[in-house]
Amino acid sequence: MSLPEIVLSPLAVTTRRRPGVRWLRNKTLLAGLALLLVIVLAVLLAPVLAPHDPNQQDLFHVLAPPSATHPLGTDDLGRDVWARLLYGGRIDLLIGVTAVIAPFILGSALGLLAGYLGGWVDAVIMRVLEVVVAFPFYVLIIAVVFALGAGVSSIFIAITAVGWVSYCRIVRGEVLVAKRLGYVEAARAAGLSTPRILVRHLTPNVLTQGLIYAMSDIVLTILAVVTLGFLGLGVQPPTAEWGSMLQSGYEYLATDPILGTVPGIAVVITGLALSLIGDGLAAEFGKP
Amino acid sequence: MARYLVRRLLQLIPVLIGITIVVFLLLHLVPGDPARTLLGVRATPARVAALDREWGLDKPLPVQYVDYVGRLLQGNLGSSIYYQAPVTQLLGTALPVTLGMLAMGTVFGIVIAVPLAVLAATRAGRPADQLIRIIPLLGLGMPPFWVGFILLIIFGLTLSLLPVGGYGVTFPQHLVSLVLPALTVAAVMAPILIRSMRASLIEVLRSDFMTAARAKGISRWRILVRHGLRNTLIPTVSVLAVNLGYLLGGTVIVENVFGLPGVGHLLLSGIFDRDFDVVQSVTLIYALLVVIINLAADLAYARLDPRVVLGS
Repeated sequence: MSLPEIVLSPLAVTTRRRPGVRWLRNKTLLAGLALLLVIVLAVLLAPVLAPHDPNQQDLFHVLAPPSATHPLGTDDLGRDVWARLLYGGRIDLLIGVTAVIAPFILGSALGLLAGYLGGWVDAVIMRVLEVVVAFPFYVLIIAVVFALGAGVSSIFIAITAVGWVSYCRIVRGEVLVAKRLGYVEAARAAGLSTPRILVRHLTPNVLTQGLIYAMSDIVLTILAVVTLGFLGLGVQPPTAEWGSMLQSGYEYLATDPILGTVPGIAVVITGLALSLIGDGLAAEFGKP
Repeated sequence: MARYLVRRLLQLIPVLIGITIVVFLLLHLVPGDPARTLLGVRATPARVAALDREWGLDKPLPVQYVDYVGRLLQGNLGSSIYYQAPVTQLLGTALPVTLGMLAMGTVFGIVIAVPLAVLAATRAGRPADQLIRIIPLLGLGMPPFWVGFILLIIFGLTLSLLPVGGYGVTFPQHLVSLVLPALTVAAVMAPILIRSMRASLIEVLRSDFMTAARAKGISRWRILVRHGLRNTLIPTVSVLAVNLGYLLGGTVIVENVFGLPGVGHLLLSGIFDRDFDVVQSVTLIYALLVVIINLAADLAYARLDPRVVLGS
């Protein structure tokens, strides 16, 4: 028996039966991807689908009902709600997706170190993690944004400060299992350095679960961005954003409920698409 | 149990120290001088320096931290600049509102989730199950405050069944005022509960002891309630405890939507009024609540399942 047949990574021993075909049978994943594709296309084609400028005020036509010119009517400043919905989606989706990158990298790196090195490194990282999880998600995010001042950069810092813990926990758990497996022990026995084992051998094998979780995390991040926008601590006016749209719609719930409901429906549909993708991926690769 | 409790309390010490460090540093994250931020750009340097001295901000950071912890240990959470009152007094009025909403929300959440989870688990794979499984997928993507909007439009504005905001004056009015906010909390909690209860109930229903119970001729209802649901309680309490931080944080925004004078409302008004002591203390109280409820959940495991031996 030759050496490559003995020292195999778990990915190599997995029986791969034409993954493309298998994915096509995963209805949950396909439904999520299709829904997300529609949403992404809608926000990307905003200039075509909504010819109005999202920030163009028309004080002679405030709170107008839905019409052929304004499919969802206008808001309290006469701005086209449909245009603001599509352009707002761009901002929320962009922040939602990009804001999970830093927590993913930071949390995964710390999880790798904690799980592989163990000892005092693990103890210190886990104690810090316990402190962060003691704070309610929204309370810590709101408090950090309060301290740093409202705005997009504060949102990124707050989400990174709070969001890394989930990735750290998931990756640490994966590493604790993986480091007892043959391919890691073989790498150690071959005299490879710790950084090389961590980067070249462990990372590709333990990140899958973190990536699956990232789908749910994007949903949570979009909810956080929308919530901060609603509280006036997120993306600042006049930029169209679903949270700030809901904030202005809140005042008109009794007279003009479209303003306070439609952006929320957009959030729910986006969340549904990402949750379906997350569930579909979890079914393919196992739960995080 | 007592030995386990003592050990858990000792383990909490580093976490509590960490929490106080985070809350303490919150004030120091504010760009520039917090005193200048509060007093505004027109304040004279002398006035800013005086406030710095009053807050102890002219001392080295470690000394400030020791002073802060010293004050906390004496039960001094500072005082609100806006309300001109000690923060402990403000929390004394606000905390019952938040805890009342959370308790009522938990009851509503369980009342909504249990029947749906049972229905889905007993009809696993059938249309009813498929339909119920969509609820968590939809629910997890709903902003908590937006759920409040929808309930407000339906029950407050359209049907006029419940008050649209405020807390009332008498106890019955308090209870009625809490219904819509509690339903909002329940709507956020129920999807999480349904998902976890359905999964664990399906597993329990397939287990050998359930087959044995059915073979003994015990009624279907009795099997489900006495044996099935009881065994799903542990994972459910676990899931609730894990998601507690998210749920508790959601109450901040829900209180804001319904104008409830709870801790979350206090936090947000503190933020907008730059009331530093209030923001710091409320953040601290929220973290302590999470720690206490997590400990209570751990202790509850042993009560719910005799197989759990604490500290082993």
